[in-house]
Amino acid sequence: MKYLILGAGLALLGVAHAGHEFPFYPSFYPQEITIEALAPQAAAQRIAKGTLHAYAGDELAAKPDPAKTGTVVSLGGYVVVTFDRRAPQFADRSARCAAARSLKPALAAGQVWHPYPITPYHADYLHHADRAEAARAAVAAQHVAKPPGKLEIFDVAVLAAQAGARYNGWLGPPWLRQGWFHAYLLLAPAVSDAGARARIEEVARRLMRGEHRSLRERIERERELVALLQSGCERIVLGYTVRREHYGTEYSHGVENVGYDALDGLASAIFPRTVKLRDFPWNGWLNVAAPAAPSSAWNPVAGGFGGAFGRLVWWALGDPAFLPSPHGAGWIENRLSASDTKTGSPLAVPEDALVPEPGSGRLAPAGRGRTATTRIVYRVRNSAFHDGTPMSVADLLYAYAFAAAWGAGDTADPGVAQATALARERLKGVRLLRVETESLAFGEDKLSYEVPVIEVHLDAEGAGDAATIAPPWTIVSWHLLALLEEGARRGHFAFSAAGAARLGLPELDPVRNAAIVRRLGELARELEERAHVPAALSRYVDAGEARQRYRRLREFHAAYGHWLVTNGPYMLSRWDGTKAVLEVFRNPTYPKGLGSFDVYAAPLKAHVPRVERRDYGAEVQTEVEWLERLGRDVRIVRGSFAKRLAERLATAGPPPAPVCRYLLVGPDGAVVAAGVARADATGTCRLEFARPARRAGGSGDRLVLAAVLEGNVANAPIKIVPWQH
Amino acid sequence: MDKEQMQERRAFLKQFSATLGAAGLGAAGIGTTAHAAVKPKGSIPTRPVKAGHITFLTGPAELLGGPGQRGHILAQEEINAQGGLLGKRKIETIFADEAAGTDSNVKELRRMKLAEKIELFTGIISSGNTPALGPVAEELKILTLFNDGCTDFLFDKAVPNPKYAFRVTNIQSADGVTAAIGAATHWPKVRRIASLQPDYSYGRNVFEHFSLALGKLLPGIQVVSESWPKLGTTDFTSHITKILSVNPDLLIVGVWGGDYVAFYKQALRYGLFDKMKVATTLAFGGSPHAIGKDHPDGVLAGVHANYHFLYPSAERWPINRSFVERYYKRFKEYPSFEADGAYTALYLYKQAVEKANQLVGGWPDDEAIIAMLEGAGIDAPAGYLYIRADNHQGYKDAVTGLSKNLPGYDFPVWDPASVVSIPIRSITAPPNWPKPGQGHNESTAAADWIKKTWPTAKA
Repeated sequence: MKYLILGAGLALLGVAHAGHEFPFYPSFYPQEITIEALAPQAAAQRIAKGTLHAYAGDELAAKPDPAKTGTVVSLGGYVVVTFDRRAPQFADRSARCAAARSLKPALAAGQVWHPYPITPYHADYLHHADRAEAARAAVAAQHVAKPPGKLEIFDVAVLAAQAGARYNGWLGPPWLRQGWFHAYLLLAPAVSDAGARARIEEVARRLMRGEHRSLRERIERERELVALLQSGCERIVLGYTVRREHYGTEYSHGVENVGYDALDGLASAIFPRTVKLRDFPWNGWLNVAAPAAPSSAWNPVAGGFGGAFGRLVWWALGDPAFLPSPHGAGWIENRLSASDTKTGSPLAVPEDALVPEPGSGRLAPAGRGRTATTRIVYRVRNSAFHDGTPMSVADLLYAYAFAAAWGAGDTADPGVAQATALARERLKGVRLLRVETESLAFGEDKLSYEVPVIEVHLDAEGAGDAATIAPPWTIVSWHLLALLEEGARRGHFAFSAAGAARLGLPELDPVRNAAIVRRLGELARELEERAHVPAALSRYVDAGEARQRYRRLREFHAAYGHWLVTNGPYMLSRWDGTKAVLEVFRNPTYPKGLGSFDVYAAPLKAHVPRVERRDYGAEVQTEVEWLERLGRDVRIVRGSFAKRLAERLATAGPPPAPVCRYLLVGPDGAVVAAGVARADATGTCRLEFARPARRAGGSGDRLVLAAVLEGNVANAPIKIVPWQH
Repeated sequence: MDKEQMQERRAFLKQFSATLGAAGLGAAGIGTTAHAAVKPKGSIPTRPVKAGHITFLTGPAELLGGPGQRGHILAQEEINAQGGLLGKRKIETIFADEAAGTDSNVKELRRMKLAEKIELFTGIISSGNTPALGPVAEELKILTLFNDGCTDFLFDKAVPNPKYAFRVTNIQSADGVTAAIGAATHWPKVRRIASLQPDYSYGRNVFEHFSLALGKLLPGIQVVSESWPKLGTTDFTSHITKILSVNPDLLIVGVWGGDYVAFYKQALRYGLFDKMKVATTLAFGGSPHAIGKDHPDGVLAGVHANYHFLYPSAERWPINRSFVERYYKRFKEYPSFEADGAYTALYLYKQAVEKANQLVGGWPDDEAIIAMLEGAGIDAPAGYLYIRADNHQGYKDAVTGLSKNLPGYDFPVWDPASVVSIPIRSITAPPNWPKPGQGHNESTAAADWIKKTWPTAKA
């Protein structure tokens, strides 16, 4: 099979035919992003002056002027008490659980009483809202101000990062942002009873494998897991903290269209893809800051880029296959689209599909007899790397080869192993189907893209989340990975923090570790001289291409002084020890343009003003929010969906309809029914659920529901209604 | 400006019958209202008139398409508030995003006509799209009022004998020529010319027509520098330093939107605006509030030769005052030329329907409406708009002016005393002038006409 070097072309050919604009600008609004560390007081002063646009990760020192400052609120961390099991008064479970209910006064100012491990910021909160409400209400009459154990705050971002180490452009696991998973990460380690722990692991495993036949069953399993995690009261959640981050909104010097993530705040994927300087229709110089200097390595392979500073850098440089839905339950397609998914058992894996060999990374044909449960077909939106190298299918394949080589075997790196464990376990084969050409033309001015269509066979349940497990995508080129491999093999660094700790080596940092930067320079020259092609790619890459790639990489390093070359929307222009300056990659090959993610900038909500009983279940009336532009300002307006649909004045196509999500909970806490219903043109959701047969009159049931707009489930207003059938 | 200079400029403009400034010469007419009530004749159906409108709703060109959409919406709401067309048929519009690209736009127009059964098509900003959609509109026999997409090529080559397609905004070649006349008017002594143009068709069109016109207007001009930043350029400093190094008298700039903003903010750091005059074709082409208060005064701030909300002035042309007030009340912003174009297009249609009804009674068919559109004149916010019968192209006086930060606005506007208004017949090729390929190979009929008929100023 011929593997093509993929290029995109821009033909701006029009003579006098085309007009006053080429209306597609690759990448995102700011032309430059400067990131620095600032203490909260200095940040407050700079925002007031208009020389700082946003402050990620912490509260400002001074109360911000609401007329000139905007605020985003996201989940900070869990406030947790872990009981000392050696203390005799807490050896008994019931004593611990009773003590837990008396600890509300132990919360500090600004901490929210919420003794349940799934918060309104989690996308699956609806599934637990009734239990959370009951937990909040179950406050003991006698209060204890001093917690009888160790009180800690577990940062949710840190919790998730520990469990979901990133590998290259693969984020995951698919359930990484689910509340039940955070509850598991937080509470399972404190469970001492082996039997309880085994049961917890089994339920968690079943959730991770998607072993449920219906939404109701899945919700039941999630609730069961949380109940098991909480049952021993060895570690209890008292509540949570929120992260308030601020940005300037002044007419000229401020920013707008500020996207943020319900869990990660401003230091998230959506922020650099939406934020816009108010004085610039596009372009401009964005200044953002974080409370602390970068502390973890800028490691593009596995993990790395911790802390607010690191995440601000990474999410601008790195372009994962899928992005976390900032206020939703799942993932947004970014550089891939999963266009065809089949699930079933068994599917034959084509003989010529490639399977990466553990330990060596060799890409071998699958051969006969291999099967999988799921086949996903991806369309890949490639682009040039920042060193100018056109992307090739070899780059996509090498991500699999690298994962197999360094995730398994004698020389496996523990960080790579953990980050790629799920992908390596589930992947059954990869195959290039064809390369298509897409174009975006305005008259004779045209952008052309070559789009590889790649099928991946997996053992996985469920179409949506499975697409994120082992996508055919890479953020870094094969020749950079090959260079880094050489460095790791020669003992100059390790690929992860865990690997570095085990081997007593520095973690890979191709920017800030001067010794590594220097060593990579020596290696890159050597690899260019011998035109090194990794063994896994020997059939797909020739020496000429290899030599050219290393030359480009070295030229990039000569110009910019580092080796962090990606294919993301921004590139690292310079790091001077205190500030990172990122330059927009407005390259015609980059497939996402200005405004691609604007719909996520304002998490619009739907509301439920009325619920009425019907024979079939319930009729739910909804209202929706939409944006109204007022010059440079935008405000959120709320009204009936029917009215919005009837006007239809400002949108291309009908506005999105609200979706009602609900569960009916019995008096014993069991989920009797669950479902999803899209509102009709009048804004009405029809929820169909049968009266439970066992209870005539159905007393004691509660209907828990929310109307959700555009997938914005985080912090969706929830109604809990006593339900009489 | 002193008295002698003013007289010099008036003499210069006289050859174009152009006017300068609020205190200058020129017609002070007040047209008939566009909203005079007519009593319809015959039976009028009550089903709505479905219109399709494709414009940029996302991406960088939303800077242009957004105001266009809002102009359309305002006109639709006003017409519907009076009961609709002929008092009976309200307008319903289906919008689509032009950012989807030419191929998608063509498909969408077909869908709108064949599936949605639209009776009218409006919108379109990109000159890459009108030459593609114009033939489709003719093929589908859908009455079309393009709001922009101003390339000469549409009626020069793509649809040389239109029946269904019309366009309300000034033709693109007028853009560069208007900037040339504006520059020659305000700065008649400039001779050394530098150019900064986006490196694709628009930039080449601007440079060609600007140079051609200025070369006729001012003796002995010399282009001393050409800069062609590629698409996506954000750092203009190398271009700025190159321009400064050749010490030009005048810089003509065709970059637009966020590129223009990045350019002028970078140029301010180099003091460029203190060292030369600067003329633009599209600096004020988007929503007026899109440009910041740090924009320098005295730049020839183009509006694509079409419309700025301060001209004609409120006192001299109440239609504009009323439009601006109503637009601001509805959308809390000031209208751009795209807003005026889209708004006027719908009223032009309304006027044509009313006139046709008076002649034929009942709901007029497209033939009758087209007959009323050809040769139509309408009193628009921008002034008088005339639809030429031979090519269905809209013509209105071309305008440009110098930027100024005035109290009362959070953004720069035009210095009212600086506005140059040019009768459009002075800068566009007349009816039946040979089009490209008919005896000449110029890029536009306008270029050929200027070369052959404009006198060259003597030193």
